[in-house]
Amino acid sequence: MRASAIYIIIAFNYFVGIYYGIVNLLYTILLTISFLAIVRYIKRIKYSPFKDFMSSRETPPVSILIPAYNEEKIIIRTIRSALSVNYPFFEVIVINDGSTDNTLQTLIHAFQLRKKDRAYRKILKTTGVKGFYSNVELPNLLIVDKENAGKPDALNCGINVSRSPYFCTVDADSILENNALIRLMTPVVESTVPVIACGGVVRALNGLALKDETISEIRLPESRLAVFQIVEYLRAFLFGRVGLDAMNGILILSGAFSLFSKASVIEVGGYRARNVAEDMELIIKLHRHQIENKRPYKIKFVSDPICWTEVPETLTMLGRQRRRWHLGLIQSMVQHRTLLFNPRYGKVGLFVMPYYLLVEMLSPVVEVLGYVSVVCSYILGILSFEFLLIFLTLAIFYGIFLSTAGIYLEEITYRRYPKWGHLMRLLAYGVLENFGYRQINSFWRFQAALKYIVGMRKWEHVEKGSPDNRLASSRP
Amino acid sequence: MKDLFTRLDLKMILVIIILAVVLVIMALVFATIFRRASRSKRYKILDRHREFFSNKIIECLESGTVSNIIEELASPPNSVKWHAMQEILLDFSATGKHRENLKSIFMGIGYVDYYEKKLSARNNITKASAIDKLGKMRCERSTDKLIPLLKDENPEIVIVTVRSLSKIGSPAGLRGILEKIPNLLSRSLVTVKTIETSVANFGSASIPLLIEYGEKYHDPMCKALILEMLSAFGSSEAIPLALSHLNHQDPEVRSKALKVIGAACNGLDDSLITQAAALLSDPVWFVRLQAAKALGNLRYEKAIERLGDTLIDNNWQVRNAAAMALTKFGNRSLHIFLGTLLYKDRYAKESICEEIQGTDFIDVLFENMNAKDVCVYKKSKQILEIMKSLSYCTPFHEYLKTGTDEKIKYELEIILNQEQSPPI
Repeated sequence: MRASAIYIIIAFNYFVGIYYGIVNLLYTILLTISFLAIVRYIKRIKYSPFKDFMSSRETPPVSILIPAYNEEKIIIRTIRSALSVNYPFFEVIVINDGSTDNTLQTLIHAFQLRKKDRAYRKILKTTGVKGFYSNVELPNLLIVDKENAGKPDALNCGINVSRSPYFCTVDADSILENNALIRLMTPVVESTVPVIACGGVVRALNGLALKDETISEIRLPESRLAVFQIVEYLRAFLFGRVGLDAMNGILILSGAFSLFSKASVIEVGGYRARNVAEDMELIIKLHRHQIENKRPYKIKFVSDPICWTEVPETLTMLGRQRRRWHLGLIQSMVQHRTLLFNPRYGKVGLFVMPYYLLVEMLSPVVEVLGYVSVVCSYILGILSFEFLLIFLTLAIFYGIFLSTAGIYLEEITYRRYPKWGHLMRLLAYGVLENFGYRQINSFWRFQAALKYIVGMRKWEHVEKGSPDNRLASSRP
Repeated sequence: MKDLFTRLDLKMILVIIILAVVLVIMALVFATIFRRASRSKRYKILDRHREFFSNKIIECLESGTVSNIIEELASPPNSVKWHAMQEILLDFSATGKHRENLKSIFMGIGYVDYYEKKLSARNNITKASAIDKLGKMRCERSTDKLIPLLKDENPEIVIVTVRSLSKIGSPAGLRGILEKIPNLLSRSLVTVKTIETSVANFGSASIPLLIEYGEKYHDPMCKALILEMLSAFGSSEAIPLALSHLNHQDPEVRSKALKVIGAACNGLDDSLITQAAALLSDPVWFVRLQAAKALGNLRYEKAIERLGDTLIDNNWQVRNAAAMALTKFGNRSLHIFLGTLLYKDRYAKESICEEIQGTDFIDVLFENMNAKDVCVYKKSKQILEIMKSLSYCTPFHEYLKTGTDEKIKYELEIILNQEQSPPI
């Protein structure tokens, strides 16, 4: 019995070793691709025509969709920031998804809204709309009051109401930089291959100084958890997504800030209700539809348009968010499993989907089980203390390398954190996050996998920001 | 022994990998800190130069003594001063003022020569960057050097060249772009939007040339693009070209031709507008949409009945465009609206109500409550009653709160208090 256990553990240890070797090799390749792509992109920004598009009548109109559920504390700030973007033709559509607090009343009062009669065309199926509100002096603001049915349904409702060929989704707790929308649209207008979706960078809003609903000073937050997330976001956006974008292999565009071609989204039936990561599911659906119909297309990630959003500052809320994200990833992968290793879907089927399955989806499971296995191996005397230490050191140093690379990419590109103190703190947190933060993250994602297996697939309530100044951001 | 050897080997390999990773981390940290320090120093010097020379250049531009400072402004290419100066001058150039003086500075201190040399660079980013700079400097001299780049195989180079030529704005540049359009579009080297955005920069002086090429090209994509660009100018010069394409086999061309006609607003006789009105029954929805818009803009009364038929189009955008067009005819379209509101389907009614609310036609209906013409009064009241029955009555309540005419208020109150809806 003991002998079989030892064999199993040894075999698993080998598997973990090989798995991590391959994963780290893939990360290194991705990092190299990202480095080259981002350096080239930064040079290209210098002759980007976004300023020309800002004043051009040929720039396509965009609807900014802001789904809101119980957001009375922050919705005004978000709308004011959306209304102040530099873009020639846009409308802001706020979808009040049956809020039980005073979100609607707050909006009516703040923008002096009046009820408006308007036909509601259910191009995409949604729950009922209770009313429309607008102000003649703010012709590009429309509030839709609807029955509660969740974020995907609210977004579908926004698509039905939108009258622009493109729409941009923005979370209710986010602030757009003034040029973010035009920068996001630029590759769409410039590309000779149709760009059907385009995502920008999301960064942590926590700690920033705001004046008149715009960012007046960029600072790092006091909360350590928030700073860990800043480092994590830099890594995820500046090398993860840039690398995958270079291969037209983006499967995740953040729902907090992404632009879509409305016709393409309607063609695939819009957002899928009851999916906890509706943004990822939509992107996979778009890839699938375009490939099946043999249409040339691009789904792009652009690293210079920035949207600032609140991140959780407590472990409980962060845990819920990460479980939800991972659960959504698993749901989407399972829903579209036919793409996996399917040559019909080209590199999406043969590389991107397997990458997300084997690296993004399975890595927390392998990591947590790996920790258990290493401890067992040590207890059973299979693994020497020396080797245990070497493996651990390698894992930690590789993690530090990835974080430092993310910070370096930020430094050579956008340098949003201007002070020396910011840089030093980010570098320090890039080291520290490998001692606990990364492991706990893997544990939450492991929990999500277990939850999926036992059928617990509901949206977990997440409140962002600090506990003292908590911003409700829950979804039923 | 062999096992020990293998283990030692593995250990060595792992230790070497760890050391390599540590070295890379240290290199990255050092590079990050070094870059921050060097950038900070560079930006300080740049700011100093910008501040110093900016005022000086303004003074010279205002006083017209540019030639005096050219020597002082000159600096070795790619030095900090060179970049500072370039930024200042390009910022001035973007304002469109002192164009000639700025051109002589750009040429005098060698920027134009420098970037023209870079046009033959092998690196596409360097080349594109040079093209962009030349465009921003707006020197006509560079046009001839830029036009051959429209033949480049790289879309990025072609796109930047089109934009730069449009910034320079010389007729030769426009001709160069128009000449290459079929090749550029057929090989997907540039997007239609890029050409549209860029050609607008040439202004109305480009109309004759656009017409010339609109007649010359047979490819529907090129024709549609040129008609679209012409529609942006709203000029009557383009009407003959548009009219000759109303029956083109490609729907995109037909719709763009209608757009030109709708934008021109005048200069058409009845027989020509009748041709446009015939397209209200085109099989393609966006042609019908443009036809409705054009007839609304032209306020062509004889098309009112035809627009009325379009109110029950199966496409909601066309319905809304027709309703919007009809609102522009004022009281002359009352009977059309009423006819559709009384007898036609729900979707058509909603489109009409939406457009009546969205335009100032609702005010026309309110004013008609005071109309001396009984027929106008009755029809308007009936429309308002139907709107109320369809729950499109927010403007009624608003008028009751903020309106000043007591007669209108009285009539609206009667409508709002009606329990029985009129027959629909």
